[in-house]
Amino acid sequence: MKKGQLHLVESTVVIFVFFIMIMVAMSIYSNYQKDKLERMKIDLNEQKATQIARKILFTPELECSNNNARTLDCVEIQKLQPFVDRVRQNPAYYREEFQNSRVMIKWVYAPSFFGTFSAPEFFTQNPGDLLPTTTQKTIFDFKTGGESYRTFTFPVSLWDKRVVPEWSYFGWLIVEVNI
Amino acid sequence: MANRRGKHMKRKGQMEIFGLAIVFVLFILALLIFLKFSSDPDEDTAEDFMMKQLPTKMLQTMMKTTTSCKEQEVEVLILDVASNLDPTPPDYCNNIDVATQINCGTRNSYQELFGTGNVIGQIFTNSLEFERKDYEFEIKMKNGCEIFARNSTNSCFRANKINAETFYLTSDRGKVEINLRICENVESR
Repeated sequence: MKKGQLHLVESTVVIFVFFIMIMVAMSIYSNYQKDKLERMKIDLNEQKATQIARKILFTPELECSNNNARTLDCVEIQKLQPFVDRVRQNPAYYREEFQNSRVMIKWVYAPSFFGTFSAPEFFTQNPGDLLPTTTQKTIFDFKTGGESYRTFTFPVSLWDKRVVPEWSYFGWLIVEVNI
Repeated sequence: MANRRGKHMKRKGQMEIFGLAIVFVLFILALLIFLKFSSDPDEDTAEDFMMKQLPTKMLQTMMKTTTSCKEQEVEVLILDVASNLDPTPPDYCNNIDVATQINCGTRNSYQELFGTGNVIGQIFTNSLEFERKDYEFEIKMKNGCEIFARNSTNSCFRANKINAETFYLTSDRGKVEINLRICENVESR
């Protein structure tokens, strides 16, 4: 092999190796960026879920208030059914407000009911039922099917204003958000 | 002569390739180090933020929950239990004066809170345990004996993240400490 040819082969090898180095670097960097984007997407969805949960807890249609003082992390049970009906009547407005999410209320603990004082109607199947028959109820469901979603849960007080002073039940707010 | 020159050229070529390999390895190392140090420091995600708030919200909601015992709140019953026990030796919280406790009909405030089908048990079973969140819950006299304790099967033994909250109540027998630790265990991640 002549000296010129040898130089040519050497240059080709160097360029080839350099090219491989750039390819490896690009693939590592793109993987890193992909991971970072994935993390950002997850974080964004988590923020979205917290925002939706906050919106639910602060929505005037559900808030607990006594003498104009608002109680935090509290939902008034008697306002739940009217709110569900309202969402059904204006789905476009509430879909924009709560995006692709599903919000449910779970009944965790309540004291015993007796006589004519039965569980709130929102959690019973028949109006006369003494005890809650449905422990979990959907408030609205704007979640699009088939996609993956994340679930976030928050403890909330469920206020029953049929008695004075009002009874407070332990509830669980479940927010599912499409990822 | 030509043979010797050929051998010399071959060795030189090998050395160059070896040099290139070293440059290649160094380049990858430098890139990895750059990526490691240029990445953003770990920030609290929204989920971390919610997990941090969870013990506080759990305790706040629990304390205000109405019980079947004369429509009293959990907080009132805990205070009643603490006010009717002897936190000093040799009793160490074991001797609770049943007669002076709030009478809830068939049971007293201690049984209402911690007995079978009790308030605290139902709350934890239907919330944190249902969500498979590990926790440790404890009610004790401040710097003293334990009144009640409950934890999930895994407890916080191998937790890599613990979010905790302590509430204090003042009873006739001194301060009552209510601790809730919600943890993220290594296995559950």
